Amino acid sequence: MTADTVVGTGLVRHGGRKFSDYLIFNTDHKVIGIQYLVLAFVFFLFGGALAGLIRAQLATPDAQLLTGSSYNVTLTLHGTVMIFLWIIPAFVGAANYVVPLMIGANDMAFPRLNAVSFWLLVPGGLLMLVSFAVGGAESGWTAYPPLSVTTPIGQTLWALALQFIGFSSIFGAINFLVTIFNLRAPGMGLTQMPLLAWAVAATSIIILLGTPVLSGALLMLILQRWLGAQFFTPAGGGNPLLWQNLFWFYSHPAVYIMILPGFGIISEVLPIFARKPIFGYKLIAFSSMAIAVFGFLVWAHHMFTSGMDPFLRVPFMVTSMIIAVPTGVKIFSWLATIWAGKLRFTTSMMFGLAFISMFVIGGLSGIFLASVPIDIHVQDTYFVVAHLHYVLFGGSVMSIFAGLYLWFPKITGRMLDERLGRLHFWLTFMGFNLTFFPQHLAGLQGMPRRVYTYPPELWALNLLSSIGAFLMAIAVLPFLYNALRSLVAGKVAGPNPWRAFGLEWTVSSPPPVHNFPTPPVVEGDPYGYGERPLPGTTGVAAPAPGMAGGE
Amino acid sequence: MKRVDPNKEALQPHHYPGSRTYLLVFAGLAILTLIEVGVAYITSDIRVPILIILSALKALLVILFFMHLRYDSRWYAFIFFGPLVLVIPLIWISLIR
Amino acid sequence: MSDTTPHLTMQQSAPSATGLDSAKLGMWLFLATEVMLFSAMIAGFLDMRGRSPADAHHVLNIPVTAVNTFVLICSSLTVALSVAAIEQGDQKRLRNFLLLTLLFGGTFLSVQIYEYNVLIGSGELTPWNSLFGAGFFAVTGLHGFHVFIGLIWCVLTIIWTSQGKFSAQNFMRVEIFGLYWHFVDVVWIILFVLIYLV
Repeated sequence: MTADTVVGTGLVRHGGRKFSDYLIFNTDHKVIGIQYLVLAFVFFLFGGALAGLIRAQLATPDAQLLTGSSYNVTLTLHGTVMIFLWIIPAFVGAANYVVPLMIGANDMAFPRLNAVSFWLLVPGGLLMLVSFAVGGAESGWTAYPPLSVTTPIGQTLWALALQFIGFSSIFGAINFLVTIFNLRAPGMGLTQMPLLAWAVAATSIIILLGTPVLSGALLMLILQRWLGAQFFTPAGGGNPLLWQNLFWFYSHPAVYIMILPGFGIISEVLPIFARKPIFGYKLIAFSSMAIAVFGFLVWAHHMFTSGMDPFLRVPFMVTSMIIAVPTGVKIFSWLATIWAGKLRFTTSMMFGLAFISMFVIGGLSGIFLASVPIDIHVQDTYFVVAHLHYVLFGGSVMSIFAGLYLWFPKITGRMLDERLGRLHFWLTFMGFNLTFFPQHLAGLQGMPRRVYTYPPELWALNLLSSIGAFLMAIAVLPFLYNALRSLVAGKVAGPNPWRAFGLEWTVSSPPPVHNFPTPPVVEGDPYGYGERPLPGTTGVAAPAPGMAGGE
Repeated sequence: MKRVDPNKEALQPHHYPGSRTYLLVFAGLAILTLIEVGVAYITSDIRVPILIILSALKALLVILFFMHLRYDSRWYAFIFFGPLVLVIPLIWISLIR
Repeated sequence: MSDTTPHLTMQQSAPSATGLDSAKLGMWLFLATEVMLFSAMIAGFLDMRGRSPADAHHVLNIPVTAVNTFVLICSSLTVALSVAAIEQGDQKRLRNFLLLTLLFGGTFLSVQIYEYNVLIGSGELTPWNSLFGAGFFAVTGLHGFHVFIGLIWCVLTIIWTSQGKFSAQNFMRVEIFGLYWHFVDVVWIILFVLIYLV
């Protein structure tokens, strides 16, 4: 058995060389990474289509495309799909592919559990789709009772789907933590790990400790819907705030599940294309851990208007503002990383830079919202919608694309076309801002979220949003064309097209089935740009020939 | 970084307690359970803190001895007890009115 | 861990950078998840308890449950003794103690099902007729489900034992099953007090 042979021929295999290797229970982390990424991207397109439906309805003040009920179903499905079936699995997929390579491991710690995690996501996704075919959930992704206990059967299936996705997440988190702890190559101490590994470890801790709380809350929701247990309905003596507390105990940390891996990806992208070592390695690593811990102590800022004890508002406002500090530490570290660097404006770098600026806007509106007086004023308006899309699209999705453009050559062995990439970037960036910036203003003028009509005075802002959404939809086309074209006709990438440090760039593209034909050698700091030669070359790490400018 | 082959004995700590310790712990658990049931019939409010302390004691006995936490790596103790910090706000949620 | 498909388990013989066994580390991480799951359920239970009459738990049968608690503690002892047995390389004693565990665990679950039958059958306590009932069945039901999973796991461990997979040098799977079983016991120790006695 050589290092580059697919093992097994039935439904259980290890390694991906043929198309069919990607359709079965495959225990190779690289295959599983691609399975996650492709599945997540399909759901991204689906969730995007739903967003298109929403924006079409809102393009005019009283359109008849959707009714109140079908509009609710659409926005619930859009939110749930984008969060649980696109952003989170896309990060899991990317991390699954690159983290074992980055730390010099041959696979994840538990290859079979890894495959189980992926194959739990599939029934979860299918159940989610089925739930909307049988009379869907109308309560938004937050599923507040009493609405979420009176809606049709689809809401029960929706909750079951989330249970499947939750199990998938938890098993994945255990796998990542053990992998990162135990499978590091000789010589790679915790502070020689690439920052993506730190970010994934912090994310996994949040998943490990947060997701089971959602599982418990969903279990109670399911029991209420099936057996008539009165947990959450005041009419039966229950407590609607119990759901909100448990839900946000998970879901506020969950927003860090959706952004920390992005932070990790950006920490890889910037040094490569600024040709400088990362600034503040330890601060970035430890601030991820700080976010993972403090993220659990801020949840009630989502409930300032929910009838909670007013006395509790101030402590939660304070903790919510404190958590901006570790995030700020990262932002400044990244700015210092690109400061005076020799910047290469590749598509990956463009998405990386867009990430920083867009995430700062979303972060700042987040601090507005953490402040009790402002939050009470703009709660449940489009200001919140704008904020969350700046962090989730401007932040998370931009970083996913930055990572895809960075690692596509490693995953497929072929380069993406940079011109098409730039077209994709600019259309996305302009469409995104056109869509969501006006929503800040609409929100401040009092436009409530999750309502399918609005007064005619808000028409201009909404029309801008809808045009922007249309642009974003168009933007996907050059990316899809680029990716498919590259698979057959792209320039051959070679092992290290970006002249990057990091163990994943020392093996062929795509890597051999068992990753490292010879045991990897760790040379200390993973970001030695401009300080020491790349492995296998002489002279200080020079930029790739295709990247404009000299060192 | 020290590297150890898990197939070698080094990873299988053989200093776990023997059957005698397990039997003693079991006896302790049984007695504490008896005391708990007795305390439950006290009508004074003092029974609640007593019962909670007794059950925590029992849980600790199982965790430290049966689950070997007393003899194993500190990492496992950190992983298991660390989340209890988060359990405090979670339980507190349910007690506020 | 032994397996007939070496390619799938290649990592299990890989060296560990921390010196901790991967499977055991994974199990403890899983238990951390379980701590949070049961905490959430207990939070739900305590909330419902606080909204119920103070004597809501008087319909529960404390003597029977106290005996049942004792039975579960016995099962924990037999699991601990089974680990001690295989530590000495004694496969026969390992199997016997695991069989005893199965017996005690099965008894516990049977008594719980009997308790459910009485409570729901008589209509004294159901998930739908009171908040206390809702909390009670949610938490004890989830725990019972964990016991059920533990019983299946125990049967598997007995099968592995009879296939001669364990020895004084190689018993990590027994230990990991033990961790799970003891944890389920710990949860019951807490639940017994919170639900039945307080």
